[in-house]
Amino acid sequence: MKELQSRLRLGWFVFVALVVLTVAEYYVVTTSPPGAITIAMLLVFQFADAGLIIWYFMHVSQLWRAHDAPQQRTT
Amino acid sequence: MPGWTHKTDETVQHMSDFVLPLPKHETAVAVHGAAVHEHAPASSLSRNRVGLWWFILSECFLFLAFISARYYLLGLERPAELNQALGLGLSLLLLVSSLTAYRAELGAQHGDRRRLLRNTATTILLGLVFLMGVGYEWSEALVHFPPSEAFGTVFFSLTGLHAFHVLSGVVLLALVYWNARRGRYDSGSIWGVEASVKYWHFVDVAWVFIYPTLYLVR
Amino acid sequence: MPLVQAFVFAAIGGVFGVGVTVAGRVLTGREAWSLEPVVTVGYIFALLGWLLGIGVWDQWAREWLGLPVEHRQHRGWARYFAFTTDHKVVGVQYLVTFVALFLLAGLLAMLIRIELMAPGMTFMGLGTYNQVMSLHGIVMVAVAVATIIGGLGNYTVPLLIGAEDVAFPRLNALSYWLVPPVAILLIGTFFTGGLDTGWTAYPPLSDVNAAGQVLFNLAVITFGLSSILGGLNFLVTIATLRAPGMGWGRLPIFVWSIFAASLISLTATQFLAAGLMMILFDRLLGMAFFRASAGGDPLLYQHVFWFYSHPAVYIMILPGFGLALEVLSHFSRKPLFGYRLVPGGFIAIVVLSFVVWAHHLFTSGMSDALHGPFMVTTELISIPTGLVFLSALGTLWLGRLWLTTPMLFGLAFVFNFLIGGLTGIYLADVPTDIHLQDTHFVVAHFHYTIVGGEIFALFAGIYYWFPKMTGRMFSERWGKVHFWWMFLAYHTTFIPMFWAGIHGMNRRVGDYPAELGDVNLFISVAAFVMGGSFVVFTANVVWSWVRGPRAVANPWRAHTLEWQVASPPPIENFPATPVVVGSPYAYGVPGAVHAVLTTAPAHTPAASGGAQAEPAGPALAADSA
Repeated sequence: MKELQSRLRLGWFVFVALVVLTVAEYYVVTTSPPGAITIAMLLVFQFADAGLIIWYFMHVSQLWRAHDAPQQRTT
Repeated sequence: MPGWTHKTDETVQHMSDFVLPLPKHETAVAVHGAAVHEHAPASSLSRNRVGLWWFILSECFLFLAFISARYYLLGLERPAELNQALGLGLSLLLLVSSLTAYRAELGAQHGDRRRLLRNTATTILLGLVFLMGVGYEWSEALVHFPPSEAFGTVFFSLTGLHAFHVLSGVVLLALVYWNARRGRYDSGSIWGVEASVKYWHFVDVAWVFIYPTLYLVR
Repeated sequence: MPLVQAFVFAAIGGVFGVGVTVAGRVLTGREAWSLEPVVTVGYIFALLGWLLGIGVWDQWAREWLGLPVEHRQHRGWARYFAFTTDHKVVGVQYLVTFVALFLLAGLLAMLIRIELMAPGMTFMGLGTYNQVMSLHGIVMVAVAVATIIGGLGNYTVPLLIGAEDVAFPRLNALSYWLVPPVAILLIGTFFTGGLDTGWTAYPPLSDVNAAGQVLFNLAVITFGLSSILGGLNFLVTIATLRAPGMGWGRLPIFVWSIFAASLISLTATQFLAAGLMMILFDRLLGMAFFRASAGGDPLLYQHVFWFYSHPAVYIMILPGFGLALEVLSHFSRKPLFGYRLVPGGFIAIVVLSFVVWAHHLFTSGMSDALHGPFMVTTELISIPTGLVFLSALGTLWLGRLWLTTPMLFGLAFVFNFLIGGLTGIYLADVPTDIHLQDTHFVVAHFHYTIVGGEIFALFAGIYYWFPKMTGRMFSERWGKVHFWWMFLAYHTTFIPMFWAGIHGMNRRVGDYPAELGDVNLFISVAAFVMGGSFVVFTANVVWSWVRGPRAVANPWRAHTLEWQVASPPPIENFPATPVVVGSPYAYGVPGAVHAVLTTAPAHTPAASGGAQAEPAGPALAADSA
């Protein structure tokens, strides 16, 4: 159960990070002048968002840890 | 039998006796009974996972094609009539649904049926609200940039393509809910849950890129 | 009777889709009947019905609802007409279907050559010519994409890597059963105003022409889906199901080539689907992707289309490379030269193939700034291709060539593709391409790479694995007759096309200037002779399949795994999982062993025919030194 609690908490952390990133993205792009810097920041925000989801929610690392990963079910 | 002539095995054998000077690594590979480089064929779970990820990669290219069409036709131009509040709201909505999907999967992994059901239902609900939001957005968009002009074309095709993926994700999650209600994930494989949830997250990732492409870039 | 069920389900689905569309149109106050939307929605539901009916419901979808699935496996002939999961059956299904399509589209080529025998429209009208030319194009492209991968790849890859089946057998059956609707739609284009845009479907014409275009787009999107799922299956199979000891450094080169080609078909094919979907959106929903008057741009289509279609030529040719190298090594009785470099070459080709597409657009009016970069990237591809050539020549060097029919085709591959590759340089270079674009020079060039390359390799593969797949030997004499007939007639047909193209013979057009009459008459006669060679092939294959002498397990004394089991292999492929201990190509190395097979005691010979099995006891894939 301890493990479940920590993973639930992790989910919240990631979620909060995603929300902060998205709102910041909106704020930065709508307030800063159009140009290459804005586009570059936009890209950083997008890939950070996508990276968080892919790493923490989609567990992409299962792909290369497939062989020594524990059973799918943990109880 | 004329016409069916084939070299006999002796002839072939003779041919293969012709030994060539080989590069060192070629002979090294062919050591008789050398220690076998052990690796067992993968389990069906990791096979499924690899397959799902390849599928997701393939889908990325579909979205990429439509996203590039936006930049090709319009560059960085975007109309002022876009409903920015709605766009941001829809993005946040999908992020919440990703969190609930994550919690649903945790429920399945820990054999916690109630957690699985509660979170799956919430995710489905959020997905439906998202679709309604897109519908409302379309009714506004039809007035400002109809699909018969360039921005409307990319706007309706990208959001439509994404909404179709959301809809299919909702169907998958509904199947998960149906099976979970009958206790089919209480024991045995929960691959169905894992796959549907991963697909749902992917739909979210796609939106992470579509949202700035349509609403923010300038 | 899965086929009957499939047709019934498809009809139900179609009627439902048509009903929904008509009802929707009436409710929104539009005219009840409009062919294009009705056909599109009707087809989508008919396709779902077809798939559910053929076996997806019985064997797969019930599982999603928690219902028990039927694991009905047909026996004998019936399994070739059903949703069968055995990769060997799926391979034969693909191979027979696409060889038949190849012959049919070849007949269309004959019609084209009849028309082109003399200047002026002598045999059919320009409209009919456009339809025949377009259909020849798209069917042959489908043949080139699917025959080696879907047919030979499906049959041999699991055997070559020591697996029992592919990773997703049901997905495999699904990929095959997506093909018949494609054929039906393409035939349907004749009844809906025809198809006149060639296989490339360029707008603005494809945005405004007859409804046949919609059927074409739906057909090609369906075929693309089949190709994506097929590619996905190979990638997972090769990555996860290799026998113990079969590391990436011991994979037979054909498997490597399938892996590389699958990478492209998995990803790039989505762009073809996207491009065709954009045309459908323009036509059905009034969007403006390619309507310049409303802010769209027809050139966008050419970019999207060639982002798929240039990599697609590598989907076609990479398995050809793999097959040719495979055959060259086995029949030179020598290890494959530079084995470790060739997969690197394949992967380099895959990567580069994504950054060369705009060389098809040099005369389209795209930005001049793009000419230079795309010329350079295109020419870079000759480096990894040269690596593959080096491997072929190095393998032949000092080999003991065993000139069987498959080997002759393999050797011809090297010769033909050299011509195809060298003439490609003139099309990659902007100055010469601007003169040669859209002439028969291009036609000759891609027929040299795809027919001279891939199709010759395909025949090498068909003859090479014919004993394994059918359990019968083909007639070596008639195989050689086929080879020399086809080889000579092929060059006589296509070499003059280079000349005609340089002198202004346009491609895709049914009429041409009178002074090109002589060369076209010559090409046509040669083409008819080439067409005759396939009669020899068909007769030989059909006759041998029925009446040929029984094949032994390993008639070529090859080392790779598929030859170490009976011909045809038993349903589970290997009595027990083989253990791979060495290179697949260690010919002439004393004591070299590729794999060790153990015979499980409960094993009974193949159910599919009284083939001669390998003698009992451990079968060693080795030269007995």
